[in-house]
Amino acid sequence: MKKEWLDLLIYSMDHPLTPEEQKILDEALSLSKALKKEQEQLLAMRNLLSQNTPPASPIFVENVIAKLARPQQPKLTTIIVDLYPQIAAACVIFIAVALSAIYVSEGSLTYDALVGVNELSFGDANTLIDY
Amino acid sequence: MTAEPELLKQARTGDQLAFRKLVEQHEQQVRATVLGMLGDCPEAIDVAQEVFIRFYKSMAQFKGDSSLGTYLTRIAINLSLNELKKRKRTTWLTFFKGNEEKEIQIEDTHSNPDRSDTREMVNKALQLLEPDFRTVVVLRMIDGYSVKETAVMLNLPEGTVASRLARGQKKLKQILEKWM
Repeated sequence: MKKEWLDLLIYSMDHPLTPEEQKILDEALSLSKALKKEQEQLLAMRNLLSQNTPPASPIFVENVIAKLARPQQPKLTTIIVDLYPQIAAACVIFIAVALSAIYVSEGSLTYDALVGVNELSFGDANTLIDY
Repeated sequence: MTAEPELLKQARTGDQLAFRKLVEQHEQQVRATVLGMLGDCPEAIDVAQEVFIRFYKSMAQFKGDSSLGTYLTRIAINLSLNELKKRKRTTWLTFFKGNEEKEIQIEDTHSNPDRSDTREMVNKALQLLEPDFRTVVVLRMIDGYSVKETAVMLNLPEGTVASRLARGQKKLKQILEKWM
């Protein structure tokens, strides 16, 4: 069986053939038993697949309708997205209060003040490390 | 029987009966798509139901550029692919060794080919394909969309769809050979 015959056969399963292509395929099928067998198998397989539709299921339809009627439980991600503006606002307020408190107690908002080592000298730091 | 556009119009106004009729008209195709993508498992039912729930919620956005069947199939494919990703993540998180797809055993029901057995066998065989190949096989061979429609639906070039289809078909034929 020639490869181009097989390719043409497979192509013919999903595409319309030109009259010339159809003639070549018909001749090839009459000449090659293997190609004919291949065609039969492919058609049988496609037939098997095309009949794969399950029977109608009234229960399925009922379940879809019941699911729609049931109030949906909101997902955690949906809750987070819904609450995002409130959470974001709370975080901004918290940061603003924290920065204000640091400014009031330390007198500045430098990096040292923020990390709490504003009034710590190098000597103190060495003493702390030795200790 | 009321026409689909009319049912859609009624469903948009909140008519539950019209929506139910739309579900009835499309449930088999949606279930076939999802079962083909995920196999016969409890998640497949949930995903198929979720398709209609998503549709219900987004009905106002459905402009009718494509048919309702195509629109629902697109949702079904997207949700199925999401489910497959979720499965992969779960598998990784639980340190599950090996590929679960390779563990699927197809029972020999050839001697007693019952309709539901055949469906089960086809769905199991589909699970042995990579999701990319499975998607085009399901859309083309189960749902019956053309290569062009499949390409549009998946936003892929037609050549890619045709090549995935050929490879998927080849593998599927090897798996199903003894039942044909």
